[in-house]
Amino acid sequence: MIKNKFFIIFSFFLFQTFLTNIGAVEPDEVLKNNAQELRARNISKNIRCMVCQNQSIDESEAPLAKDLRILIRNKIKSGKDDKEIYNFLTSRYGDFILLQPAFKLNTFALWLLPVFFLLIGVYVIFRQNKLFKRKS
Amino acid sequence: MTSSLGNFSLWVTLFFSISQFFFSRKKNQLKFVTISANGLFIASFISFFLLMYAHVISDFSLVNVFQNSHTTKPLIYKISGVWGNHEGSMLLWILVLTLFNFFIYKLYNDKNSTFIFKTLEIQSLITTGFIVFTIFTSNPFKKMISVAENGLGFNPILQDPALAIHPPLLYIGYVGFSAAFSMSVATLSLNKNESFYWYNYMKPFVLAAWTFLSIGIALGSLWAYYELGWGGWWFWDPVENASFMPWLLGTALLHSLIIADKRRSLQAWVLLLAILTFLLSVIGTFLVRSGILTSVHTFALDPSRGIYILVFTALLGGYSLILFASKSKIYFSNNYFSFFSKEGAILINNIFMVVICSTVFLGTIYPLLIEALTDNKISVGEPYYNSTVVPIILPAILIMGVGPLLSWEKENISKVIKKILPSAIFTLMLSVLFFSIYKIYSLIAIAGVSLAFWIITNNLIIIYKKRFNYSIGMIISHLGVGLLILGVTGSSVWQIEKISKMKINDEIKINNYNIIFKKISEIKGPNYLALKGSFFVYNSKKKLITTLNPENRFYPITGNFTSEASIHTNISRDLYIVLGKGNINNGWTVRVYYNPLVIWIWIGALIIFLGGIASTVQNIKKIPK
Repeated sequence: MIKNKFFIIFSFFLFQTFLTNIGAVEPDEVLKNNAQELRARNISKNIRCMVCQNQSIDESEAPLAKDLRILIRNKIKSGKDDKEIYNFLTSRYGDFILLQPAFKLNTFALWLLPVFFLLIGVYVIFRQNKLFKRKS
Repeated sequence: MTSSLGNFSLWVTLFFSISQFFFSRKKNQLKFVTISANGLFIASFISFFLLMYAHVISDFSLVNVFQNSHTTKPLIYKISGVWGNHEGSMLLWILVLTLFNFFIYKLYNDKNSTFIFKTLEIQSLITTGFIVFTIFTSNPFKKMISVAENGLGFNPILQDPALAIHPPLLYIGYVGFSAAFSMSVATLSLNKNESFYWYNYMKPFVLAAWTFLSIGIALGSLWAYYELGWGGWWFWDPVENASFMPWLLGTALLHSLIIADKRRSLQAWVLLLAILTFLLSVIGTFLVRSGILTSVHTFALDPSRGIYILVFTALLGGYSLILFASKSKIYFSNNYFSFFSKEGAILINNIFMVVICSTVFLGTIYPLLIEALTDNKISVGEPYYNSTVVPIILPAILIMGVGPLLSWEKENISKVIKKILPSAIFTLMLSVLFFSIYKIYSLIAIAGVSLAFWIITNNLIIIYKKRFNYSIGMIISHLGVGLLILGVTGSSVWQIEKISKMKINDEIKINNYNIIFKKISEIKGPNYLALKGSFFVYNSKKKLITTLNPENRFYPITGNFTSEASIHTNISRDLYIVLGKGNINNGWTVRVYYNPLVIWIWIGALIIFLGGIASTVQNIKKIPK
C-alpha cells in the first residue's frame, strides 16, 4: 500500500527535474521541417553535454543540453549551415564540446596514428609473404 | 568482530601468497607449495564470504556495508552488492586470482615441475600485488567509528540481474589472462626444454578467459540496452573500452595460439600478446578504478589507488617486456607462410585486432594526455570510434569467413574459389532476399548484412558437410559472430525512433504497429516507488499483440530516479518504449523505438559463449599429462 500520497506526488515532481538517464529530445523541440530536424539531430549527436559524463546533448536531459538543442535548431531555422553552427559552438565552449574531435594540430596524432598502425600491419603481412616466396 | 576476522583472513591470504612465491623459487619444495596454493585459495575464499556474510546480515559495523547496502535491499542484490563496489570487487578479483592459481598448481606433474613452479612464482607476484593493494588502499573490512542504524543504499541502476553477474564474468576473463601472462614470463625465463608445450598449457586458460570476458561484455551491453533507455547497446564509453581492449587482444592471442600449437610458428608473437593482454586488463582496471576517466583532476584528488596500480603495472610491464626483449630470440622461427594460407588469415586477423585495439586505446587515453599536457580539453566520443574502427573491422570479417577453409602454409587460389563458391552464392541469394524485405540500401547496411550471411553460410556448410577435422567450438563461435553482426547491422541501420507527447488514449504508429497509451498508475516495489504506463500494442491486422509497461522509478533511500524501458521482442524486431517527463494535463513524453534484429545480438553472443566453452573443454583434455 502507498502510505504517503503527498510524498509520491512530491517525488514525481522531482522526476521532472532529475530524471536524467533517458533519451532527451522533447516533442516541443522538434522542428516541423523533417530535413532540418534530421540535421539538428545529427549535429546534436556530435555535441557533448558539458555537464554530463560521456553523453551527447541528444541523449541528455540536463537543462544545458536542452538549451543547446534549442539553440542549434534556432540556428538551423535562421539558415546557418552545419559548419557555422559547429564554429559557433566551439568558439563558445572550446573543442571539448565536439564528440568527434576536429582534425587540427593537437589531434593530428589521434587521427593519423590508426592509419599508421594499419600500414605497419600491412607491411608485416607482405614481408612475411615475401620471405615465404624466397624460401620456396 | 567481522572487521577483525576479515582483516585477519586478508593477512593470512597475503602470507600464503608470499610463501608460495618463496617456495616455488626453490626446487623440491612441493609440499610447501601445495600448502601455500591451497591455503591461498581457502583464505581468500573465507575473506570473500565473510564480506558477503556481512552484506547479507547488514552488518553496519563495516564502512563498506554501510556505504553500499541497506536493510531494505532484496537479498540477491545484497549478495551482488559485495562486488558492486570498489573494495568488494577487489576481493572478488583476488578470489578469482587464487582460484586460477590453484588450477595452475593442479597441472603439476613430474615432467612439467620447473615450468609450473616458475608460473606459480609469477602468479604469486601478481596476487601479492593485488592483496597489498586491497589491504592498504581499498580495505573492505574497514571498521565504522560508530555503528550506524542503516546503510546509505546502493545505486539502483546497478540493481539488476544482468549487472549482478557481469563483474564476476569479466573478472574471470581478466584474471584468466593473468595465467597466460605468468606462463609467458615463465617460458621466457626458462630454457626451451624446461617449458616444452607451454602453448598447450596456455591455451585452455586463454580460451576460458576469452569466453567469459565475451559473455561478460555482452551482458553489460544487454544491461545498457534495457536500462539506459536510449535504445542503443554500445556507447564507446571509456569503461566499456576498458573491457573491450583486452577482449580484442585476447581474440588475437587465442587465434595465434592455434598456429603456435599446430605449426610451431609465431611463438615469440604469442608470448608477447599474452603479456600485453594481461597488462591491458590491469590498465583497464586502473582507468576504471582511479577515477581518471572523469577527469585528470578528479584523479589528482585521491591518487593513492591510481598511483599504486600505475606503478604496479609499470613494474609488471617493465619486467616482462625487458625479459621478452632479451629472451624471445629463441622463439623466432623461419617457418614462413604464404599470405594465402590458414596462418596468413590468422595473422591478418591478429593485425586487425591489434590495430583496432591500439585505436581504441588511443581514443581512450588521448583526451587524458591532452588535458594533462596542455590547457586544452578535447572529447573523443562515439563518432570517432565509428569512423576509425568500422572500416577496419569489415575486411577482418570478410577474411574470417574464408580463413578456416584454407590449408596450412599455402593454398591454391583455384581450390579456394571452388571451396567458397557455394557459400558465396548462398550469401548473394540471402542478401538479395533480405534487401527485398528491408529495402534500405546504404553501403554500411549492404556490407554488414552480406558479411553476416557470408560468415553464417560458410559455417553452416561446414556443419552440413560434417567436416569433422574442424574444431566444433570454433565453428559454433564463428556462427555466433555471424548472427551477432546481423543483429548489430540491423539494429543500427533500420532503427526507427518516435518521440511524442502522449495523453491517455492517444495513439502512435511505428512501422506497422499501432500503440495506444491506455493508462498510467502508481505502484510500489520492494525499495522503490514507480509510475507505470500501460501501452497496448496492435499489429497491422488490429490484433492486440502485447501490453508494454515502462516505468519511472524513484528510490527514496538513495534519492535516485531511473526509468525502466519496456521491450517486446521477437526474432525480427524489438519494440521498445520509454516513459519520460510529463503530467496528466499535458501528457507524457513517450519515446518508442522499433529496433530490428536486436535479439540476434544476444543469441549470437550466447552461441559465441557456448562455442568458447566447447573449445575450452576440448583444450583442457589436450593438456599434456
